[in-house]
Amino acid sequence: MTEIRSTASAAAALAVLAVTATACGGGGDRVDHTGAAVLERQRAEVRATAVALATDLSGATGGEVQSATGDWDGCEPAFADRFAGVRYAATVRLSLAGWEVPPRQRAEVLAELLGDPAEGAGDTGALVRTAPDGHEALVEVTAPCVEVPAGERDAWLVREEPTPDLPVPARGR
Amino acid sequence: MSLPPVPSYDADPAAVRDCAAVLLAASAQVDDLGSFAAGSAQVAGWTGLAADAYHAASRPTGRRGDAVSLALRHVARRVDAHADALESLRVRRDVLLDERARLAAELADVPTATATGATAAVRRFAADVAGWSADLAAEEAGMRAVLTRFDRLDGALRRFGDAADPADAALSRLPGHGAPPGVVKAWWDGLDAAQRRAVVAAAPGAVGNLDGIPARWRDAANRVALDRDLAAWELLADLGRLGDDEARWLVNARAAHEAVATAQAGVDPVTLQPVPAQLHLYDPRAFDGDGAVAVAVGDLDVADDVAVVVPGLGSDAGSAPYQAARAVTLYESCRVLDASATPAVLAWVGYDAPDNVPWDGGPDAGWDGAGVVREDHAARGGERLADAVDGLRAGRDGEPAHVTVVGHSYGSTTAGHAAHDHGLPVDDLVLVGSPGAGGDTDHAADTGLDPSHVWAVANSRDAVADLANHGAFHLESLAGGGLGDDPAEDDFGARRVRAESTDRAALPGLADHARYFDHDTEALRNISLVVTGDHDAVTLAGPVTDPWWGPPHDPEWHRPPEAPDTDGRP
Repeated sequence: MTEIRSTASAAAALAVLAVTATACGGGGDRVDHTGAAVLERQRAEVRATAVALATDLSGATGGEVQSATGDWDGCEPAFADRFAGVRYAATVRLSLAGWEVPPRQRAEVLAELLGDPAEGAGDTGALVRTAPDGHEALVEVTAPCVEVPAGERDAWLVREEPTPDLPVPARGR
Repeated sequence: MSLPPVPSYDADPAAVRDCAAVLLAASAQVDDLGSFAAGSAQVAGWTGLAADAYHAASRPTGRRGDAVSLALRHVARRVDAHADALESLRVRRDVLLDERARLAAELADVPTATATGATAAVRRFAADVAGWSADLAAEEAGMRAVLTRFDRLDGALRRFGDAADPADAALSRLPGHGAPPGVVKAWWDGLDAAQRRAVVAAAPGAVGNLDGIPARWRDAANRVALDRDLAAWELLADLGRLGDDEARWLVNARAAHEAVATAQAGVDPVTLQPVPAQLHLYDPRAFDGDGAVAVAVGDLDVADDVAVVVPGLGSDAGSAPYQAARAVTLYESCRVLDASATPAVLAWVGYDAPDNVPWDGGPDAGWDGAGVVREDHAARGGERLADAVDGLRAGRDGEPAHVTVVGHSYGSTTAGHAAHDHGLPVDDLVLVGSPGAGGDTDHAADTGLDPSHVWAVANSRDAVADLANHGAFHLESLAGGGLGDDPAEDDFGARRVRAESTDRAALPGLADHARYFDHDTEALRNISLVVTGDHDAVTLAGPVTDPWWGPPHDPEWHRPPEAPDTDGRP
């Protein structure tokens, strides 16, 4: 392997880039090469996981869900300032106000209650964080990045989620 | 002794705020109608009975339009205040819930005989709950009263039928085209709050992109313009009457909307609270329909550290969501690395970057990709960038911000031109994955900055960074080709930082050109530290060398990359 940088002229280097871009699809190489149907499926999975986590969390703390939404996000940067892929992500914000656990201890107790929230989430990643003041918890669920054809990327990015609000049951004090 | 319950509360302040935005956009549309009826719709030189009848009918339409516009604006402002009140009530209710839980625990431990103090505490708590309920009822009654007052046309005409629009007097003193940002700021400072709100609602296009206007007001105006445009063009699309130009503008408007949504979805990694988002620039028609959009994460008016990220090849309004996501990432990293920092990151798609490369988009897509190996776009963009930073600085009150321009790819060439040609007023300049700093910038000092504040961020596998000139051979001397010297090279004199990625490829390519803003990378960490001014913590890399007797040599090629935490997530 060489550690020598190319001294090609700009024009020649552009030609090299053209070959490279064609070879690697013009973007990153860490995305799953699957289709749009996967994105629809992961939408359902992420939403279900987020709702389940929010329900568990609300049940354990008596906290109220402030907001619970999901949408498609771009992921995996590609050459020429675009995303190469799309994934579904959901966020739930939960108030912990009124929980009998004092605010300073809430993060620790919550972690013990939940264990590893990513367990049982399948391919999706789940993360629960507690605000430093102990008044809120944030649940973030994201699916793996899925590559979409270059011509469809912008459309996916601005695609309207038909029902951004998650069906989290009303709960709380 | 029992504790009173805290009343349930299911208000959604964000939805109420959205409603206010819709009302304000509607106000702008109706104001346009009023202006049209009173202006363009009046046919000069047309006389006779038919003309009299036409003018007699159209003039009142204009007056009614103006009155309804003012009424909508009035209601929108009240609805926005209602959202603030609901949010405040929610916070107060959370405090009550915590207080109730604390009292409940205390009462469980207090013997009955010594409960006097506890009784007083419960009474105070009950009074607080009653006070909260009363405040909620008063707020709802006030909101209902305003809605009822203006739910019919006659209500609007009674209140605003003869009222002058405060925007008119303000706009009559608007500085002329090309006025310096300081003059614009002085004009804005001379308006009262009602006039500012009126200008934003009646003429968002006049101030939304005007350098010198404070960022929060530009944001307010641009959101009105965006909502108005979306409403108008979506309607035309639904009716099947959207022209080709309008179709492009609609695509840009949707992208701007998504970019704002992306920025607003950002969460501060320290507080877990949503981060402020600002639509700083919105012009869907700019650059022959490529569009111009700039979205900020953080508050540009008050942030101590402001970063302006300048993208490169292929960036246009359609890439705004991508740029906004990058701004969120940089903001998060700044906060994780320095929890006391108050950064704001502006993703600036404010110049006409060369279009995408010819192999991306098909034969009919059209492109000016040839511009990527020339500096024309960068030279023109550099002037706009310098103006934008001038405007940012002029629009602020109080202490000047520490401002860093971060140019990525062709954006680094643009930033180089802004610095060399136009005296870019920044504290630090970061050139990322640079294919060249511009033909006239042979040394960091040529940017006008102290070379210790010019930073080169280039990883060893970035094929685009390889495009820059090396050694004594300067391509710009040949027919204007090439983009200038490599900022990572030793004789350029910038400070090169570590920027390798643990995911780096075996060979130079394009993938590593797109990884500089990924979380948990050396590049993002070091860029963030420059942005927050923590220069001593930046990890430096040895520069590329290019001896006359051989090809360039990159000491970073074999160094094992690190993966520093920049997102605070486990």
